[in-house]
Amino acid sequence: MLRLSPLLTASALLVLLLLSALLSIMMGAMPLPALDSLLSVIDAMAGSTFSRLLDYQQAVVMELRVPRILLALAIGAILAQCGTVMQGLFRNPLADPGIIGVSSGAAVGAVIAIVWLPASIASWSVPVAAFVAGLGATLLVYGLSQTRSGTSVLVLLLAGVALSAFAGAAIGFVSYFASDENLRALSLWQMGSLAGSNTHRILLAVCTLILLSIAFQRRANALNALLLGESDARHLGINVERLKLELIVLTAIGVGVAVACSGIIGFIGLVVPHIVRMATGPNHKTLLPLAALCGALLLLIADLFSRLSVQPAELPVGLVTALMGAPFFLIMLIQQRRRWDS
Amino acid sequence: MLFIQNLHVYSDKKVLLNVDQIQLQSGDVMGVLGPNGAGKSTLFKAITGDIQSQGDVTLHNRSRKAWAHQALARHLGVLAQASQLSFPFHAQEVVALGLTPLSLSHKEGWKQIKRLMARTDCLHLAERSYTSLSGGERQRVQLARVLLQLSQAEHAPLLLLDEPTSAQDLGQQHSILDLARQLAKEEGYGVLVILHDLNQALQYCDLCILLDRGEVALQGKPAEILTPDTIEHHWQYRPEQVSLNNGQPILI
Repeated sequence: MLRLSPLLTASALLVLLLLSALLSIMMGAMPLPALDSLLSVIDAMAGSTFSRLLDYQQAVVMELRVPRILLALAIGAILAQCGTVMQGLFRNPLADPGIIGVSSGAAVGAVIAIVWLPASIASWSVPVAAFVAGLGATLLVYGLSQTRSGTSVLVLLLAGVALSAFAGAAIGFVSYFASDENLRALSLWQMGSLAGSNTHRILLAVCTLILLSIAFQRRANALNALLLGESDARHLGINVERLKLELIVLTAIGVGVAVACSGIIGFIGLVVPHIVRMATGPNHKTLLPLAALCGALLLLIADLFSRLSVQPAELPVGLVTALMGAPFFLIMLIQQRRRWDS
Repeated sequence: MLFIQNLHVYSDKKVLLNVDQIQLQSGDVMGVLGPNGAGKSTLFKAITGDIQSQGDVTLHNRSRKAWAHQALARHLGVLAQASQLSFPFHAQEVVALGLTPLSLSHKEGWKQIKRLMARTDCLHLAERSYTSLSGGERQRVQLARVLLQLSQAEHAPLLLLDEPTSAQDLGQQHSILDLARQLAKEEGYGVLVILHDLNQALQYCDLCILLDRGEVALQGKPAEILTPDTIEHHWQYRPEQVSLNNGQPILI
């Protein structure tokens, strides 16, 4: 199959990313001129006064749109890389970061925080509870999958399914006792949103993205070898058990931070690695950074769509990614089925 | 180079493997023979550490467990019967995975990849997607990968081949076994090869071990242990034995 050059693909993605970022700055409930919007960002960074935007327009750019763009880029890149790693670890292109129970666990944590903890501390209690519960759920699933001969991928998957079912019941149970107001907050949180972007969240997401990208890239060759199967990877000198634990914990941290910052945003981690793999091949050395770029782009576009589609209100971005991703997932399944048939 | 003593593998208190002693010298090709379920693959897994075992497996006078992961990978290569790889790597990228335990420059690495792909007769497949290859082609690509991983060994490498001929056509079966023999005789490899075709064992192996129900039933030169009587005893089939002009026995 014909492959695109990774360098060319990265350049194309970067150009699209810059264009989408510019569109995201300009467009919204209050449309702004392109050049002045761009200049106002330069003004804010360089301390110059080129932009002719009014103060309140500049505030819209720098306090609402730019933080949101930064959060979208970081979360999209984190989710896409985590998805890539999970698909490599499970040697299955249909795997998703949620497979290890992190999303379900995080959802339970967030629901408990929304319903049972005081609303006055919700701005930090919800993300913290989501992160802690997500990581806890992953470690529980991982612990259950340990057998005498190492980690059983089958048990890990089944434990993830069981935990998700349990989490669904727990969320239902807590929701039953929630007030109407809490119920709305809860359902919106589960649909994911980038509207709560603030400096803390951006810093957290960007730092996590940088650390994860470095950690994943250092393990890219080992991940490639892991695609041969665990035995073959072990015969190539890789400490497979340690690698699996590291990848699972890193992914849990990545998805935990993403969920904590923006609620549950599905399908980016599933769809993006698949698209990039089809375009440039399965080598994780190039797949990981390209997936990061593509994930950032896709979430930025999804967020733009979520802001523009029902103006002046906005759709939860998790809904938009699911609407875009679910049909794609079905197409992938049908293709896979054809391969099995043949 | 390889010394195995008192090697036991248990599963739920059932003994899967019970080997007193196996010794393989550098430069020898040793066939591992036996009926289905005799413990041939279990022996390989116990040697590589893929399953838990008790006893000693020593490679170059050092216990396998004492070897560092990467150093062991440069001295012990395993060609499995089939690979789990289902992602569309190009064949040459699969071979390049053999560089994992090595520290070769990019240029030298690719030189070795091409050389070994030519040696295992798969260079013409270099740019093909691995998933589109036939079973036999995949096996040859994997063999090139394993040979690459062993190409920088400081001591004579040990090569384990688990039914390397199972997916090959007649010509390729012989060229793979020829290659195994060449590696042993010219480069000092120790080769342990699981075979079902006893004539191939007679033709290519210096020594054979015959496993049955997890134990070494016979050990020695192939012509000495592969007689119609022993074959009937272990496989419940009595072949006829004839000799070629050069004295080589053939089982029919």
